[in-house]
Amino acid sequence: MPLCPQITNTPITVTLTADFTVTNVLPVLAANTQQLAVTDAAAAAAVATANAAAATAGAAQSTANTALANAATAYTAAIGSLQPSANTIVNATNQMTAIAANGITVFSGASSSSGPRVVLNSTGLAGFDSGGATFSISASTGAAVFSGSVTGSTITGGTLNIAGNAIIDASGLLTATGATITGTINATAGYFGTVSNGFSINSTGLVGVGSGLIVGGTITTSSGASSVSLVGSNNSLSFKTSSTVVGHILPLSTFGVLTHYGATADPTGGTFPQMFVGSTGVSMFASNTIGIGANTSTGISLNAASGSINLNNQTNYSGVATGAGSPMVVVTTGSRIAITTSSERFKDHIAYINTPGWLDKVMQMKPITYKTSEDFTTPGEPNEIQYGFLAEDIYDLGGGLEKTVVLDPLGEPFSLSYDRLTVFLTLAIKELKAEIDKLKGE
Amino acid sequence: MTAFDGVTSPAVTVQFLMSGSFVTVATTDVISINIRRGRTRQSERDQCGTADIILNNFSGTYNPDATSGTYVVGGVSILRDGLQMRIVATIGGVAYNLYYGFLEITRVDQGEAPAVTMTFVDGIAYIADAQAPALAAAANAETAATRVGRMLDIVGWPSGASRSLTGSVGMLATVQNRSCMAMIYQAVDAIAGRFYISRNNVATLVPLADKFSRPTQLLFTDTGASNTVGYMELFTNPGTYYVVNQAVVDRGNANNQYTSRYNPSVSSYGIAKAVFDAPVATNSNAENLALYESRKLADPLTYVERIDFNALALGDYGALYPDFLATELGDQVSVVRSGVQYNLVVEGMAFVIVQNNWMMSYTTSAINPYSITI
Repeated sequence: MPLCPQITNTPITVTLTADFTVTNVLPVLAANTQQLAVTDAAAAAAVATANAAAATAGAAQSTANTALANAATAYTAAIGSLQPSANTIVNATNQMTAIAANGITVFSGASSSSGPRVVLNSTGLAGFDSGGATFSISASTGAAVFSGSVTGSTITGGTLNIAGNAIIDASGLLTATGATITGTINATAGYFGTVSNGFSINSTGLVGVGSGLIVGGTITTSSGASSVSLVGSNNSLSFKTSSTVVGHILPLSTFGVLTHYGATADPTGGTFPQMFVGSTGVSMFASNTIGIGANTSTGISLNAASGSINLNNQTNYSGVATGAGSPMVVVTTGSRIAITTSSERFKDHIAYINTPGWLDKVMQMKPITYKTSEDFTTPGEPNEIQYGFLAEDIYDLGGGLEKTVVLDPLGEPFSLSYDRLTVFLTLAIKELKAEIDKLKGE
Repeated sequence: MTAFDGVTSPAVTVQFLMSGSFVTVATTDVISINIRRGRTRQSERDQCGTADIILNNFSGTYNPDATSGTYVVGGVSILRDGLQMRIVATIGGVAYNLYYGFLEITRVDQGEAPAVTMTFVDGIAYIADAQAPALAAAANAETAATRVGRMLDIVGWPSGASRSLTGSVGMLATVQNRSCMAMIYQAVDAIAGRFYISRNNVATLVPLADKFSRPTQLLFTDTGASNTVGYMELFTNPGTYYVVNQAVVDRGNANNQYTSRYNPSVSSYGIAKAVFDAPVATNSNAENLALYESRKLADPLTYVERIDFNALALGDYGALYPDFLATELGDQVSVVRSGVQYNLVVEGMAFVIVQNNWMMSYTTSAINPYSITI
């Protein structure tokens, strides 16, 4: 703040009072008129130029007057050719409006009662072409009929009836008879049929309601190149994997259901492999293997080609003996069901046994009596004393007798093939017979 | 300027803008400085400021055609048209610009006492050189400050701190083919304000209300009282010559022209008319403006129109120098003469500074209290 005393200048607002006279006018002259000062010579030149312009303008006006007269003549001729009547209005582009007792008819042809025209009267609004009505709107009911297409964004009120084939009523109900819908239907709460019987379309898809049916045709679900089709023509269910049809489920004649492999559904039962379920039972037919189990290494399989049974993926035993005699099916090492065979045609590297010492081996065999352990008996069933050997004893003798012992998967003795002991008993008898003969001196 | 020590009196230096920086001219070379800024009374426009600098050119340093020396850059002397110069007074370590200008005329005296006289004009001359183009329709209804800013843009006046523009009255798109300065004066009339180039080279537009907020910088007396300045001469004016009691606000074609007459003054002094080229946008502002201009000077008032004083005689050991050096156009001063106090507005100022003296003249007008809402 400066050192000297400060002056206070207090504002006094000026307002319009009686002491003032205020006027406002709109200037008549251009603000820069005074800038247009010219010399006399320049003014004279300007006057001459103006006179010339006036002469030119006079000539132009004369030409314009002539043109105006010509135009008036042409207009009179044109009006005369139109021959308008008292109830006909002709506009600047020669479009006519005829006002008759029954209303207003707008037409472009020669007649107000034929050809393209629009009629507006107390009954409503109607359009016509040379062939008849193209549209009509009733003044009393508001009903509208169109022979052409109706386009636009919104139609409100009443019922829209398209040639009787598609009807949309005021509630939004669409009744279509013989109609075809193309493109995509996007709906969240519509339905086909009735609310209680039919199909609804909502956010979850197509949902059956009540007794609604889908009749005929084919319904296919798909995931990439794989699909399942419900085929109405033969009522089959077909499965496609990687674009190839691999099998079908379908009714067989009148007494069962058939599942079979192949590209074409076969209701005759003549396509294999197949599985049949019907009133006569369950059957499976395959050109190769029929298996039961979790997979090919832990189940039971029957091989139709080799005629073998495979248990737990162990070695197959082929062929089936058909003659009478000893049991042909046995349980072998590894819990296999096998078929015993004796024919030379099943054997190779055959050699007859001529070595001695078999009597001593037989003499070391220790017959026993026993009962089956309770862990391996069925309660309530008799457990009689049995005669036999201990498989371990026979296995320990060696010399070939261990071959008669069946080992478990851990290599421990499990059971004994009593029938094969006859080989060693035969060799022992032959040695005993030779000693007897020797003692007899023969 | 060696007589001014910067402690008991301000040190005054002349500085030239050279290669982006101000360099101080040797004070021993400065023979005299004459500065004139502002206007003589409030009914005039602020005129182009001038500063005449006379320099001792015995060394030839100040020859504008010199090819070597202090002020030669790249083989060419900078002492040519457009050279930016400022005059700075420093007291107590604080520097005050007294003037900022651009070299317009150089007179070289190669006589027995070689000297160069350089005349520097301020930014008003710079602005007045430019012609305003036709205003586009978009310029319609822009404020006075925007209109002045538009003119400064045309001139190429720097933006930012080089401008201080205040004026919110809307203006019409107006007649063209005028100088930018004339267009700026339209804006000044539209807001009943003032436009000047400050001593710091700031293009300044102030509105009517500015006169109610300016400081009172100095008190001139003939008593020698503390913190007062003794004057050498006072020139008073009865004010009757400058009565205006009928104002016409001319807004150009197709816009109502408002005329206001203050009848009490007309009855006493007859019609004293003034026309204001003020294309304000609204009728109400035009009417208010006419009322104000017809009332502001309607009553003649005796006032001091010029004060002459010696700047080296400011009292109290120079305590008033900061106030004196800070004085700007539009600031207030007061004069007490034989018990009568005159409250004044500084309209213009003139400095005559020589090696051992510093004379000042303020041209002033009477403070008037009238205001309007525009």
